[in-house]
Amino acid sequence: MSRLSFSKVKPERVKQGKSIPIRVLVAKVGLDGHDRGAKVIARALRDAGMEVIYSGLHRTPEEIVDMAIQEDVRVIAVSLLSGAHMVLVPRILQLLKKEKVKDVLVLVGGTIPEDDAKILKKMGVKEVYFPGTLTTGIVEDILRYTSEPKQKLRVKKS
Amino acid sequence: MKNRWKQWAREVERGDKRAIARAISLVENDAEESEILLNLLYPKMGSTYKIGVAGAPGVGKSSLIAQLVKPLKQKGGHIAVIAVDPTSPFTGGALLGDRLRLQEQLFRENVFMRSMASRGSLGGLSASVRSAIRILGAAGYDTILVETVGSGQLQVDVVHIVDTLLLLLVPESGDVIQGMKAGLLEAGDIYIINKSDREGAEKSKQELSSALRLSENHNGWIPPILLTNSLTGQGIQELVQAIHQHREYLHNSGIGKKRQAEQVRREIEEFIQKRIYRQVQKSLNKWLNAELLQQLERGETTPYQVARSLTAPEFSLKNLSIKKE
Amino acid sequence: MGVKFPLHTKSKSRKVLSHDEPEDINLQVKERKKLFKTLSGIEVKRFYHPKDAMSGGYEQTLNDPGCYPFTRGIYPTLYRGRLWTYRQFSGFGTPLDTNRRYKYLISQGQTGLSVAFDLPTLMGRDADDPRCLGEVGKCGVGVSSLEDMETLFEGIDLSRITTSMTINAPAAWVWAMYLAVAEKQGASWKKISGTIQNDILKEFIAQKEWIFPPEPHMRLIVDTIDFSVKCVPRWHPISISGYHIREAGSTAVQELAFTLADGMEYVKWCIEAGLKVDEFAPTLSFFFNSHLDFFEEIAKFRAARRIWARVMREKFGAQKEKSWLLRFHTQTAGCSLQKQQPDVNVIRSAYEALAAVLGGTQSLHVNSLDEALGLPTEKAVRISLRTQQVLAHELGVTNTVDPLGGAYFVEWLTDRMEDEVQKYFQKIEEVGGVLPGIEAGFFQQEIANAAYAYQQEIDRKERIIVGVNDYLLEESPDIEVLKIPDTAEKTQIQRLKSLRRRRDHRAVVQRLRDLQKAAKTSKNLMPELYEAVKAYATLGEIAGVLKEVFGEYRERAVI
Repeated sequence: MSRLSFSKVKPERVKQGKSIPIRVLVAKVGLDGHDRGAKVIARALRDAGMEVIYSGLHRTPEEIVDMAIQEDVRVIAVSLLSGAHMVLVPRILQLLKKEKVKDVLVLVGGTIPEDDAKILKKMGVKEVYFPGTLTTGIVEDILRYTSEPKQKLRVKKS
Repeated sequence: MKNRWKQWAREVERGDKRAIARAISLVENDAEESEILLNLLYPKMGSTYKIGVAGAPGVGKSSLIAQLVKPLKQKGGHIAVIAVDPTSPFTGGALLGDRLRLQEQLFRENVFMRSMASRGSLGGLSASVRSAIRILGAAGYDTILVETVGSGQLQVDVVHIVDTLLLLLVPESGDVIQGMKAGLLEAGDIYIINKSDREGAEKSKQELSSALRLSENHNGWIPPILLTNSLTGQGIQELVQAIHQHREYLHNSGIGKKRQAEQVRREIEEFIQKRIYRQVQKSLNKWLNAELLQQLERGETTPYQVARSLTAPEFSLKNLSIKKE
Repeated sequence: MGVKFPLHTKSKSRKVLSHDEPEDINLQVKERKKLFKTLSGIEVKRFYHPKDAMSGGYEQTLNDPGCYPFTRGIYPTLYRGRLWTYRQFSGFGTPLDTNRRYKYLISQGQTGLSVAFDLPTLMGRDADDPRCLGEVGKCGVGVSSLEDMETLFEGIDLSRITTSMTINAPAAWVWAMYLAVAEKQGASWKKISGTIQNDILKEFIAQKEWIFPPEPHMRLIVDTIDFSVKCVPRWHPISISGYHIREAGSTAVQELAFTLADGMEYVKWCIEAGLKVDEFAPTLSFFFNSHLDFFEEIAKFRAARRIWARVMREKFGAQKEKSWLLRFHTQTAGCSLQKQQPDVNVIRSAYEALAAVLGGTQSLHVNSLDEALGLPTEKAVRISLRTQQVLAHELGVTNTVDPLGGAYFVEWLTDRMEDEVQKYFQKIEEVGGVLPGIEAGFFQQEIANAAYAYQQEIDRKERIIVGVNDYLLEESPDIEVLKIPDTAEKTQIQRLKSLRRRRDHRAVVQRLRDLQKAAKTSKNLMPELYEAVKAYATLGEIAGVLKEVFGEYRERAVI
């Protein structure tokens, strides 16, 4: 009779700490209809155990931020292949700031020149992904960034 | 500490979207503290009217909701939508909400929309949807639409959460009727055959009508079968009317009160389950250590004895080490 | 074979074969992989035998070039008669910016223009529409009115150049603008030639730039085809496109099947509208992608011609030979370009271009090395054009027609492509046809599944992409990227504002009213559209009045 050998398992492994899924908004902003990347990312993040909300096509920055707030997501992953990133992404950042949302990570992917990527990162985008990025890398990044310490209970002090 | 919760509750009541969204996350994450907040919010709740929208994927639930938002709002209410999708049992991930067709409409009408994943925890879904409804109720949303994409258990759960259940079908969903989870097809308060422009809409209506034998039973409410086209808006007016009629019926017949009592009962039951579940988890986390694992491996105790000991009222570590009874 | 890669590559996991290795004896039985397959997932055998090929008989399945079913080419002489058209797709910024680029391209030997419009134009929106914030002139040239179109072709003789316009949802009235420019130049509609893409089905399936629901869009397409046959006979009023379907992640088989199914749908609608198949069929044209799986792409082009010829002759009963011909434009695969080590993109695109030429394309666009990051610079475009010229003049591939005809593997693969396409036709029928398939998300789901499977292969290194998941460099070289001046948006908005002040306001309102009235009937809308653009009604104004009649489209997302 074979019995599982538990002794090799580290005790922490059997502890059932309920893990809370990371919620991500995959956002298509602007008039750009290229949704291949957004869909592939949405699926990859789902398969990595995240809860993914897909915005659908042709959204405005206002709609994206509204969605992000209501859905209480930890990450907004914006996909853009239209060249309008230097207008639409800063607008999202600005609206988040206006709504005092500070702990949402903004990631951007698409056809984005390196110089623009640098500027976007300075503005507050956590990471910019170019064509040819592996989804495994994006998953790892999100896991890493979201495990960075943040404020615990996010209740505003009066 | 207490102040922070009070502050949060005040923000929810004021209708602050972030505060609401985070409160929903709190219940969704099954955080024990959520009860502090719910306790504060409970007395502030007005009456909320909950409409369930269920049907197989692709029958047009989202666009129907988009059509409903405006006429329902005309009665002077605040509307919220909760869309529930299944969590993948393999990865724990989920793709949530078809927000697409809805979004512009929702944005324009200032509707609060939240997607929730089933997450597969014990009684978790209906408990967290119920709590989300409580939170939205406290925030002043008096009409709440609960949409379940997916199928099977998710849709059965929704029956016990809402006051009025809309069941959506499309003309060619004969098979869907066959395959619909027992207990769901009969549970509809209003039946909708959407995409009525398609062939066979009338015929489906007949079939459905005879399958349900609608004239019998149902305590004086004969569920109507309506034809709609959620793209053109055809039949929406009739639907809104039927919804109002059902609401009145619930009120006048006393069935509404009965349903609410049943809902509260289930809510309490779910919280009992949650509490027990949490305790069990805590005990397990505490006691299922390397030593116990070794005991199990050596056959000095069994999983069944462990379970029994952990739930025994006089539980102590000593109990566990009893090897043979 | 036999090459060891230098050490700075990160390839350690895979063994590079080399003749120096003594245990080579194993190679006679052992293969590198369990399964060899094409990009579409078709399993490929170790080698092919005469028995694998042409089982249907030479005359029936291949036949000579220029003979039914045209597997080997639609013309008997092909490139011996006339080379393919070099048609580099371009457009950016203001109409003036793009006009300058066109003049440069013509001076460099380009033989046809191909207009890339910006997203606002593609969606039928004016430059000053609030939803267009940041988009004007970004991935193409912005055209909001006839005035913009006049500037775009200023100094270019439309009677002497052929123009292809990648425009779909508002194609009818953008074409009307072009026709108005031609008329002003004195170029006869009987003589001008070119293409409007005008393929809305692939928009719903893949590219996602639409205005109305499918039915009114289909009606507008029938109107343009009808108008073209009667008034602009040398024009190609539609370019049925697989390119975008492929870019959205489909396989080669899906690209071919969905595109041909779309084509059949247009033919069906035209016939139902009372058009004679032999009158309009010769004006139809196609547009395919050329991806990296060399032989599969060639097989795809050959199978496309054969299937289409049979469909037109047998299914739609076309009598004229010209109605059976599948003419196509090809663009190399944008989705095969990578940001890492961009120079390598030149190699990819060159091979893809070669496949298109061996497949018998009528015109070609070769992507530029920098397009994973943005629009191409002048220098990058020149390399693309030179790639075409090297192909045409230095490689000798133009000396004979269909040089791969009869190759066992190529013929086998051509047959397989045809079989797989037929299977998809079957499936499309099962979901109720093309439009119900779109509504049910059938095509979108098939494509999304293929795209995800492809990405997973790359993520897991089951498929090697040079520079992406193997043969990496520590630091990817920087390249020059075309900067679109931010002033384009402002300029365009100002131009539009100024136009709105200058034009005859009453005429505009009247023409728009006439258009809306006509839209409610079933008459051909081209005359009213033409009158409206001539009165300088803008792109967005026209879309606006039509939306009031036709409604707007919203997609159900399929992931």
